[in-house]
Amino acid sequence: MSVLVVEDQPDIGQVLEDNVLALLDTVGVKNAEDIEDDKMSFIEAVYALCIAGSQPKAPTRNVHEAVFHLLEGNHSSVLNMASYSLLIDIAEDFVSLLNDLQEAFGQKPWAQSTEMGSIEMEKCLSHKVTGLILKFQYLFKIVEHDFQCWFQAYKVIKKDEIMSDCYLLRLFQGSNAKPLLESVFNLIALLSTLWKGEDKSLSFQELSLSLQALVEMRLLYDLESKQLVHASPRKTRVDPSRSLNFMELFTIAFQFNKELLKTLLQVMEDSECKLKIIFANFLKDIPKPLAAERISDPNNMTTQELLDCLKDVNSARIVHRVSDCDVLQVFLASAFKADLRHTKSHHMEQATIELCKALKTAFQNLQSISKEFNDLHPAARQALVTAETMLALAT
Amino acid sequence: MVSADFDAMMEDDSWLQDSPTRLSEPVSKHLKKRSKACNIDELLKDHYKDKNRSLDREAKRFKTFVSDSEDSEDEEVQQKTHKEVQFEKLVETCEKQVHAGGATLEVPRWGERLFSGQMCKESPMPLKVDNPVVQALVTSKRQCSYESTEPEKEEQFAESLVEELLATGWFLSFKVKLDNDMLSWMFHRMVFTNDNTLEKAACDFLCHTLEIDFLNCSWIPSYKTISGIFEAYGYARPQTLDYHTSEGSLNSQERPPHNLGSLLRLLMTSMKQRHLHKFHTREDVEDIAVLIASLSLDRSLLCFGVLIKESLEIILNSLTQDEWHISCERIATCMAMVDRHVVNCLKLTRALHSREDRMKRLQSVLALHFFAKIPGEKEVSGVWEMLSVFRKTDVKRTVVDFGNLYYQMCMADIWLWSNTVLALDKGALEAWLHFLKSCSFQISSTDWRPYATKVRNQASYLLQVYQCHYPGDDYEET
Repeated sequence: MSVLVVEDQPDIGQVLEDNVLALLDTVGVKNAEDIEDDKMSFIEAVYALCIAGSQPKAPTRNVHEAVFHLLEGNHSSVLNMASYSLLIDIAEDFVSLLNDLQEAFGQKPWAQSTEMGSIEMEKCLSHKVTGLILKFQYLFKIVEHDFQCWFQAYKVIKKDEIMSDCYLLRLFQGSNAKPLLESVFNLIALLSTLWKGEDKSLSFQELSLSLQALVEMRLLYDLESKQLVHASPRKTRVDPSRSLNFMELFTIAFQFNKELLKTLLQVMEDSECKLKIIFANFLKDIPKPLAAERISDPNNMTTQELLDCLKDVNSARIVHRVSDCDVLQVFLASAFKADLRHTKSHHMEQATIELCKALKTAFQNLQSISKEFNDLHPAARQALVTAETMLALAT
Repeated sequence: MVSADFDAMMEDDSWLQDSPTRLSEPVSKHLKKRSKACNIDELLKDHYKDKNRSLDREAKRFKTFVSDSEDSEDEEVQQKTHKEVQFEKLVETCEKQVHAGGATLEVPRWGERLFSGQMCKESPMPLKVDNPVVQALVTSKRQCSYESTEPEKEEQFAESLVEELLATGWFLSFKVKLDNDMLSWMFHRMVFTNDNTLEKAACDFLCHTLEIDFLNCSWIPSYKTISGIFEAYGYARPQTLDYHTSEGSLNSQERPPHNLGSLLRLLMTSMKQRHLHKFHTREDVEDIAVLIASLSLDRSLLCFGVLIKESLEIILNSLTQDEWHISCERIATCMAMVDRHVVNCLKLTRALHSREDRMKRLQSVLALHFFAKIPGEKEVSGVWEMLSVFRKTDVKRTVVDFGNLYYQMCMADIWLWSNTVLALDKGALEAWLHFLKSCSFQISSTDWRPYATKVRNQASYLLQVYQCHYPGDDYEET
């Protein structure tokens, strides 16, 4: 699983490249089925040479690109599936097309996918949609793979320089980071609504998860490097690639778009990432004195501290005054859910019981100050039922 | 000299005055010529009249061969019909031959329809409401929603509550251990629900449970349960259905439900943990592997393609080394036993392309099984037995089944490519290359026999591949 050693892989060579590419030659072939058969034989041949057998060899760049063009061409579901599967296998064993694609695309895959509205997607033929999804899925997978490889090396070597070649970090840097992040979030929200609406073979959801994974990975790097900076105080120079903290980007992206934030919090998978987003946005909203009183370290905030900000009627009133009713409920419920999910223990501990109690108190206080909270948001109601049940079973 | 003449001519401007007379002369000559030309035209007309007559004669002679003559003349009708009949007969026999070739030339498309589209009604599985966790949930729910709940049935209320919490992922944060009854109920919902969100969330939760609590395994689906679910989805034995299934003809009714994806995911997680929970026996794993491998032949399951392959890899890897020695052969035998069209056999073998060693091994063994199964062969176990089959074939003879030869060649290629046997046995390598060469050179590119050009093209491609892969000796001598 290392990208650093693949440079020396022997490839299949010029003669075989010519022979394999000749299979794609459509001169004189008129029947569409025959052309598809030829493309299939090409994929089978590359499989045989590069994946199967006792000594597989890397595909040449031309062959590799030809396989990607088959996926890109979006001809039929058989071809899409076969080329996708082959590309993934090649990326695992050898090298991905990431560096080549990077030059060709830039930010295109991201921009392209947001442009494509939901209505347009619905209109597309089913295999066309599957083809597009597979293409993006492949892009996300290789970006993820690329990040993992560099990140593993980074954890061992502990030098920032090594991450400078990482595609994901280069993507989210400089002035375009903010609009890009916003479009990615929009895409996640769009994909998850599409997935919930229609039976589209789960692919939208998988895509949305991969996209989330990318954002989460980027955050992971921030967290890791922050720890490193803490560990070595000698380091003073600020890396330009990290001059804009990723967490700050989150808060900027969501400051005026709470609806999107609500949707995202309910579809996001990674609990650590989710907690970070909630805390950052919550801290931005509430008055500074209250934060200073209840939260010991804003950089290492806990859910318990978040709920403590609502532990009496007075403070609950202050928080309520500055925040939207629905958003606050989703914040509390999501933080509670993510926190429990994040704790590794599978049994009820004292901390869990305290958390359940704090959640209950917070909602009781909110309900006592405003009638808005009598009809609870579904997420909040589910959180309360879960907390109540756990408390009942604990005693 | 020339320039002097020219200068003299320019100085002498008498030609300027002369010009009108000079002009008038040719005009009169021209008029005379025209009257002559009229005569020539007439002559030409006469000439062409003669020529046309002879052309007509030739045309009539030609028309006796071609049936679409418009102005038929009585005396020629008899002769024409006689020749026409002969010609028609010839065309007929040619057509027959061409069609006979064409019918077999049309390579059947791979694919088996495994799901009949008749979903059986799921057997209802009620949630046990006397379960303490369910009881606690119901009580809390009644407390939280302040409006008085109508006296609906306790069971329905509990079920919809558990479904809601399951779908929104709250059970992942639930720090209370659930008992087997409840987990079985969730599994049942995952497999049969129409709700995508619920299905996916249930799958996530059950996989999570399997990962943290593998000892408590009585709810894990056994082979029997899985095959029961497949039957409920409308799974039918492949040999009872026709082979030709086109992708377009499938409507959503004939597809198995999307829950199959979750079932595969759960199966994968459970197989990864097999060494810990030891729930599936070796025979179970073999049966599951055969079942899952056959899924790759159904075109309606293309969207699960990557998932099917991945789960097959995990299933094979769940066997211990000792088990694998026995199981590999048995799985291959079971897969080869099913009566399939040869194009599907090839597709199935190729579907096993993988980076995993065990999949490679299984593919190799299966290819050998199919090689032997292609009509006319006894059991084949080694490289020389395989090559002797090819040695018997003389591609120049008129009666050669190129269809079988093509599939045999593909299977042999898969087997030889996954082996080191050719590297160890130079003689075998030469014999194999010799065979490929004879196919490549002795079959003409215009050979009309079915599959002949397919064999020729494949052989010449393989020849290049093997010569590049085993460089060294000068193969020209063989």
